[in-house]
Amino acid sequence: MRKVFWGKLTLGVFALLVLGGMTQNANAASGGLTISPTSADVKVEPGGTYKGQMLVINQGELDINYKVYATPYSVNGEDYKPYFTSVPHATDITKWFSFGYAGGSLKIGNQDTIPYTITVPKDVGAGSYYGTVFAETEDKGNAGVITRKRVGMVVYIRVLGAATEKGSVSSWDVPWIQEAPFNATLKMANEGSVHFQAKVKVRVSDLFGGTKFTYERDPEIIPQKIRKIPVTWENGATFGLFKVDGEVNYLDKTEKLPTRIVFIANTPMRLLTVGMLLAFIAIVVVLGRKRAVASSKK
Amino acid sequence: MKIPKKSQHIALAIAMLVSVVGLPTVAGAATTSTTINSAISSVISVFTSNGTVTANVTPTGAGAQTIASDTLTVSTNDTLGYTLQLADSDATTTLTSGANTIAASSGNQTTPVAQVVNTWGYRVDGVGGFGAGPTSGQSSAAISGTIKFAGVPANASPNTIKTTATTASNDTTTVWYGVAANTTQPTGTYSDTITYTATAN
Repeated sequence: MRKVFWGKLTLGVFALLVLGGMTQNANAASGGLTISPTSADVKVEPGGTYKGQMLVINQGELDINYKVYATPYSVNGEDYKPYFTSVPHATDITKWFSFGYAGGSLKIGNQDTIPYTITVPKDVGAGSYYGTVFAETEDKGNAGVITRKRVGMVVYIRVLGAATEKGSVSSWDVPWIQEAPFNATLKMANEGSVHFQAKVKVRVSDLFGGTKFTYERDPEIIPQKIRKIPVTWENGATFGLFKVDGEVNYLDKTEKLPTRIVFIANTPMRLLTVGMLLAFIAIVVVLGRKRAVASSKK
Repeated sequence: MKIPKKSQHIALAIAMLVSVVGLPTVAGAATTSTTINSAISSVISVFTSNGTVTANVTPTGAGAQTIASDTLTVSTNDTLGYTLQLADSDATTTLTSGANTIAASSGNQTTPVAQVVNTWGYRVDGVGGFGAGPTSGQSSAAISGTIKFAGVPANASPNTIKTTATTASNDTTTVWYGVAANTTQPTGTYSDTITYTATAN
């Protein structure tokens, strides 16, 4: 009895050590930083200024040193792959930014407020300009691969003045048959000279009208670009017939997206569905023939 | 003047009645509706398990390879998700020790290559042409002919290693670094600096 007790106790202590060790390993001391907000939409007159602020927070397990700076921001392709280097012939707006505090050391659990000012030169034309304010760790070392982390706040600046606001739904693609997870793709085009925000709402419902999934996003659409907005229903239905509808609000108008019917099923379920349909048709045909034979005998 | 007990009881009963009936009236009179507004700010964070990834190599004549990992953890409440990129911190992509260097792998994210001696590179399982893996760490072992690496790009042309389309909570990405060297590589402490960039979409 005593042996069993000590055996169980040893096993328990061992399990505790193993589990404790695993947990500790999973939460190995991590260094990095957090910022808020992740973007800013700013409107400024030529020659005007805008004052804002960004929070830098140390939620990691190590004290950090960091710096704050501005870079250009541009996107490439419909996926809006971001770039933070200057584009030839584009206005270098990094000179427009000045910071009240450009970084330093930040202890675990603390946060800094970074005041920034955007000063737009008088001779700048109306339109959209973009930049990113980064907070970057200043990890140092002299051996191996030294890793720095940076997180950026994208700043969408609209310099006020005469501008063309024009956009459209470029495409709305919902494959009628697909495997889980459900996906659809909306493409928004900006044919104007200033960016705008599109408020996208998509609803997936069953054939009785019951809402099964809703998608709501507010992506920025940059001038002379098409933005692909993927709509994915993660961990959603794996089988069934659904109705998809939605709308997009942009530039003070609302555009309804055409309603689509979608059949979601993986390959075995598709085969099963086709098999059941064929069986049903076969039964109807056989019963029909039997009736025809019976009525002809009469 | 003495108040009769009966009167006292009546007065007490009236007072209790008034308080019972009156209290709800008072409470009802103070009732008002309040609208609570709360704007939740967007946040994004990036953390790594290491500030420095150590990939020491004891070289052999034929070449030895060390593979070590770094785990990135990204969180954001931005509903459009985030993009995570990797690039060198400057335009020089070699591992450097004084005047000596270890060249970046000749592969890229789309077409990574098996490492050759005296090169270094990165890979992320399941991204670009790297293949599914899973990659595992090794220390000064024979150079793998199947595990493929890309050279770390210069700061002007970062590689995207993850894009998401919704909020993320402690979403992890493992980046593997490989260093291969033979005995012709001069001894030294080689290093380079990588920058991970996370931005909301």
